Amino acid sequence: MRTVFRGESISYGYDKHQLILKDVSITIPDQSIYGIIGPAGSGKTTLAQVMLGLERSSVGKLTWFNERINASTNRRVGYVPYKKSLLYDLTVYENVLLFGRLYKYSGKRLKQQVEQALQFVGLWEDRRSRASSLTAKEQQLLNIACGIVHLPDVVIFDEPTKDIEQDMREVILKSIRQLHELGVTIVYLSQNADEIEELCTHVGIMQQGNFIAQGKIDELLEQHHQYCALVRLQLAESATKLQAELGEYNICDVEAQAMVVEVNANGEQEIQRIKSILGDKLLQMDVVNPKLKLMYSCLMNRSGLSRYASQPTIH
Amino acid sequence: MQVFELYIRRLLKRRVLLIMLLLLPLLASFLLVQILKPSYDLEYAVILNSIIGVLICITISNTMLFYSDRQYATDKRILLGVHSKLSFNCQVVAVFLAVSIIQLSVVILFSNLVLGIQLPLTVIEYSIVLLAYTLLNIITVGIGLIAVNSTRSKNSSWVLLIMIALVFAVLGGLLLPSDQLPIIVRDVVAILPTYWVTKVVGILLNGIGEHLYALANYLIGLTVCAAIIMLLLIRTKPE
Repeated sequence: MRTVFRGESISYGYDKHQLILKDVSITIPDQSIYGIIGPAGSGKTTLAQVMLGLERSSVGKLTWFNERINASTNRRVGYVPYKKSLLYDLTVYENVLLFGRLYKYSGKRLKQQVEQALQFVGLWEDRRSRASSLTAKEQQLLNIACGIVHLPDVVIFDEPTKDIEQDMREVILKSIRQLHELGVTIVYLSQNADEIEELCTHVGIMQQGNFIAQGKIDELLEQHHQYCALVRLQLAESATKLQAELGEYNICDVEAQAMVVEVNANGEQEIQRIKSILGDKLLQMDVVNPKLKLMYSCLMNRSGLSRYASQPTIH
Repeated sequence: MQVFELYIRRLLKRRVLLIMLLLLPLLASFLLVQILKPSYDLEYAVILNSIIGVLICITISNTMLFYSDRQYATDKRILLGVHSKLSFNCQVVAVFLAVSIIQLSVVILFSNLVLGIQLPLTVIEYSIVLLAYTLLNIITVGIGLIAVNSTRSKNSSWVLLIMIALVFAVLGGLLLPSDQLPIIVRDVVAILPTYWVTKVVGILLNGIGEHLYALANYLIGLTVCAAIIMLLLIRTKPE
């Protein structure tokens, strides 16, 4: 497997006693869409900044394209930060042009790339508008154009759909998919498990500055299934009423008359126990393959971080 | 020099700001000459120091132009393009230097040609003034950017910058001759780089003569101070 980035035992913090990243290791395969998911403050953005060399890790080894991080490896990486990092006093065209120029492109080639980037995100018609006069959605598209104008091999997206409406979210995710189809490796940071599952081939789940699970999404779900099965309980009564009776279990999802419960490694025994607790109130029980969102929620609950993870939804 | 080019191009697009940056020092020098009507070396020194003081205040307040870049992390994105923090900061400081050297040159030309003020300085002495002024600018821009990086709000950045500008320009003897300061303050101001620049200007206008050693000391002091400030700037992490 060819890799574009390999980081081993990365630690980073503003001081030795308050580490934001703790012994993080990550390998990003070529041509993959690698999702990094975690609650706010888990260290996703810091990890991206360390990967880019914007912050220097105190310990650890980082390589991009099998080279130590340097100016030429940085030129092969694009970054679309969470904050819309633009030159707000300039026009759309000038923004993309000046960011392209930073990567030592010039003349006709640069102009072509600027046009391509703006056409790609659909802002070519607005090229004469000031960045400050654009809507939040358009600014996010410009943010993306500025990150891809130098034709990078890898693009790191830091929560590009956060605070963005559903229709625009689709446009952004489509653009990211198109980039991937063009052969670009994507690193996608998000708090949204559904988005990661929909978009990514690989995922790393972050919690308090380290990965608690990493790998191909399918493999991870399979692996998770073995030691942490989820069972869907079809109930005769309201699920919210019966929640208390299963208080000792992690309840990942609650619907009107159904709930998804996590059972531990002693799966068969646990299933029998649930049956005996619920008795006649249990109509049906099915073992389900966990979706990433549920797996993420269970892993966070297991780590005692349920308050950070997605809360069970009541339909 | 991509960052330097980026910021210069960006500045050229902001025509109103550019005109203000040139007109303000010209207006200040015109007013100073009208008020003081200099006729001998000491008054020339006061005028030149005051003009440098006004330029330093303008320069330090211009560091606020970088506040929005910090706020939106645009500076980090630009830094990504050059990779080295040293190179990035040197190029940012170079932008300020380019602007301030143009400002000082325009003011000196304006004073000579329009206001008829002929400073009794040779080309070498002008170059030494320019060198001292450049080093002072590196120090003030560096301190200004550190202040902008170290504060959490725009208002606190402004307050800090105004305080630094006042300490530098007033206590350092640029806007007010240090002889006119209270005696208690005079010994303290000797540690300010602006004070060293006023001394350099004074030595050059009164004739270097036996003050060559002192002149060299002040210039070395300014250089060391500029280097320390640049090191601090590179190590500063934005709040």
